[in-house]
Amino acid sequence: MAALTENPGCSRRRIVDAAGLKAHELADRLGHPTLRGQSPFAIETGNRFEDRLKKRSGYALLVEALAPFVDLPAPPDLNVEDVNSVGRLADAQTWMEARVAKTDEALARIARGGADAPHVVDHPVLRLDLTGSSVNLEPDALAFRVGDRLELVEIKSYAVIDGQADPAKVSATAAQSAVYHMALRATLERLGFDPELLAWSVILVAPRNFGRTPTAHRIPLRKKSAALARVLGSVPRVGELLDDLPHDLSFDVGSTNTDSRAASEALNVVVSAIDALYVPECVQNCDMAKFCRSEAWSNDDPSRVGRTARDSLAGVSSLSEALALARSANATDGSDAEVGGALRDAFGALERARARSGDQSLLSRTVTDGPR
Amino acid sequence: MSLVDLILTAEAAESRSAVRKTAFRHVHLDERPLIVVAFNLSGEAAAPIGLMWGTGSSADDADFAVSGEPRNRESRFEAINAFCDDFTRHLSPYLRLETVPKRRGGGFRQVAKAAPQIVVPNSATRSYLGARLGRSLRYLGLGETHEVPEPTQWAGAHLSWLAEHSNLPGQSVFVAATEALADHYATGQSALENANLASLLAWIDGLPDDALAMLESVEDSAYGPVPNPEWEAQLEPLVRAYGDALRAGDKEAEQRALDEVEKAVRPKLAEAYQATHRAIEILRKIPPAPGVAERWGTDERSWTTHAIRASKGIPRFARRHDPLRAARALQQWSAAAERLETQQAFDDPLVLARLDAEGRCITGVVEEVDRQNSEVKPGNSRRSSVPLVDVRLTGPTRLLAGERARLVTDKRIAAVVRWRDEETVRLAVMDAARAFCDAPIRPGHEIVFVGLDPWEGQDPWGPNEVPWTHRDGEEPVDGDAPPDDSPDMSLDELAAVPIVGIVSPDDVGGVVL
Repeated sequence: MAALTENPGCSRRRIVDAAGLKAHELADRLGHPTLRGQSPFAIETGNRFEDRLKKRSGYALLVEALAPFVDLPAPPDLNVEDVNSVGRLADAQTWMEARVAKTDEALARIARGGADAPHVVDHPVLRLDLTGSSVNLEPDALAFRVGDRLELVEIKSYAVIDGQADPAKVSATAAQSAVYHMALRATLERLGFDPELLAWSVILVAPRNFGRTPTAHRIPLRKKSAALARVLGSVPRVGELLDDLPHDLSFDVGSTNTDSRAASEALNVVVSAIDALYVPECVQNCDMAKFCRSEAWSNDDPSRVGRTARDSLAGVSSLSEALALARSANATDGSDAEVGGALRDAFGALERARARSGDQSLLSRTVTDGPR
Repeated sequence: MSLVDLILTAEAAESRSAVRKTAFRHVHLDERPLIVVAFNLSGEAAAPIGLMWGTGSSADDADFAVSGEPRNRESRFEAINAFCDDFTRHLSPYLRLETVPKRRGGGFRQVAKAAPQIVVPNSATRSYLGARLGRSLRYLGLGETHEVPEPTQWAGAHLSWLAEHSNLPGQSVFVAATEALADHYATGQSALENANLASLLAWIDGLPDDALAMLESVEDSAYGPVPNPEWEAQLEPLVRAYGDALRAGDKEAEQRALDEVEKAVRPKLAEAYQATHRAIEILRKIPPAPGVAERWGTDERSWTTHAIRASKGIPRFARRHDPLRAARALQQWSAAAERLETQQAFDDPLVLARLDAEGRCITGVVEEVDRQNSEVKPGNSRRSSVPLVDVRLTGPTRLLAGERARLVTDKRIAAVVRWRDEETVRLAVMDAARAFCDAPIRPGHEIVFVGLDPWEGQDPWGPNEVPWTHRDGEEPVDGDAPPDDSPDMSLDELAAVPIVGIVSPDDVGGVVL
């Protein structure tokens, strides 16, 4: 989901998601396993932090941390609805369905404002229809303020030092929460309630400074949510994307038991047939990124050095073509005339400067010099 | 990314080898800077598993400290204290103050003899050591916090000062090797990928035919502070074994387990140390730009302020700036950024080329010089010398009549564009006319003016005035010692921690497919 909202124009990611494939497994079979790993220490610390807030303290720590924003009764008066309590069902699909239903039911009770309404909904599962395919989302918790408002809560284990956390992490949390927010509003609407019941923010609960004491901060979501809605609204639906693909396209190219190289090559052909929109930042968000990066390298695609390079070289298909344009003596006409002119001017300025600097080692190299 | 940088990137990609993007070095380099590298235990804000530091060329001679279980207070502080003790000792000679006569007005002032220089592998390590480790140490010993040895408190103060100072554009006290290298070399990859020192160095060395495979193999060797997850999965049982030995109170087993952790961590630290040292040596070969010494002077003056505070005891830092301090810092940083841009452009033809490519220069050949011309300048009543120079353009310019530009070879000389057409520009020299007349500028010579006109006047705000941007801000967080908030776990708690091992992307919560 994060991968898609970060790079909504990427058909490849969309189709992989629509096909219900796990991007990291696909990348693995393509011979480009993901670069993104998670630290075992970090996972463990994160799980332990969440566990302390919820189970181990009987939700007392969570209630205490949320106190500045949500006035909840302390346990044992606290009414917690743990959606996981539906029990382990035979197959994953039924289990998920049961959790979705239980979340719906808990939400309805809150929205109706009955005395039996839970204060905290733990492990809720929300269903979101995402451009033609539906996904299940699992926010950390929903808290019900005694009064009239529903709050979304997200527990993270990154430190908030003197009231400030790593901006990149906070931004990622906001992006993730915006998706939950959208799903929650949709659910409320589906159940026939006013979605404005839900606050336009998420309450981040994270460790304070260097320890394990939780602290809560409200992160506004209105802007992120608006951006998300715009992005999801403007992208082509999966159905439209599929129309453009060959009808016999299939990711099913034999099981792992068959000749793995042949299978990997066949899969490569299939995946390459779908357009990707690769930029270097993909590596941080998408498990397919290494495959796309390798493709961008072999195509000498300008986007592999960054978004700005791609944008300022609009119409130029490769870095070597850009270099050829820069070095060409005469103006060309055609689609790249403007880019070519700017590149020639820049190259001229660079060459004048190199000549002025009088340092031979700086003079421009051509490929004949080659690497040393 | 400017078009000049884009061309340099394409050149590097074509030759599979980094391309110099400046003619000069714009960072000050000490004879023997202190190299510091660190790895932090993931999931904790400031719990180093290993640190290595030294001024020598070999990691074998460098000092290092490893914590067997960073979540155990004693083990963590054994490593932190060892580093802090040396770090404080390294910096103490730089804190010595000398009394020198004031430049103007008589009297004396105190100055620090020299400023130190610390070089780390990448910017992530710099913010880790400064803003996180430094912040975690600087209140210790105050209020209701844990006691730590005095050198550790000092190191907390020094690291906090360094963290703050590293925001100053053009500073050379606290240097990240990746940033310094990327300022001087263009690689054929993205800025994001340039944040990895191993990959930057591979580009400078020159890549083989299968460049991407080579880059992918070096990318795994992150030089800190965040360890590679697969490596951490190997560390996990070693750390656990150490924790178990602590709990059992078995000194011998403890030492054995610590040796095992050390055996795993030290080579990684050494790799990072060696790479950082190489980066420094690569940069050292580039001749320094004239502005470097001037900016280092600014660094020394800032360090002097810290040294004067340190002469009265361990300097204390507020948790956050109050509005006045924040506004003043911002003003300083933006002024420094502007000064840096200007200085580099005048110092370095290759930096100037970016402005030239954007049409912000007048580059051409002198056609005619009129040194006799005199005019009544606006605001004057008498005529003064305003030499005129006609330049036949050899590159395009976007400067229009009325805009100011300075002579690249002598920035005192400022001129105004009188008129221009497609081929020729006439400039009227308004400032430093005498210097212009004395300069050997003759028809046929190449000449470059740049449309940079740095603000040299007074700052718009008085020294104690809070600008509107910072008024009505939130309450400042004062310098009182905040609660300790350390990540310590008891030995029993540690024993209950499960071994997680390699984490699959499936194990990350949030989305269920």
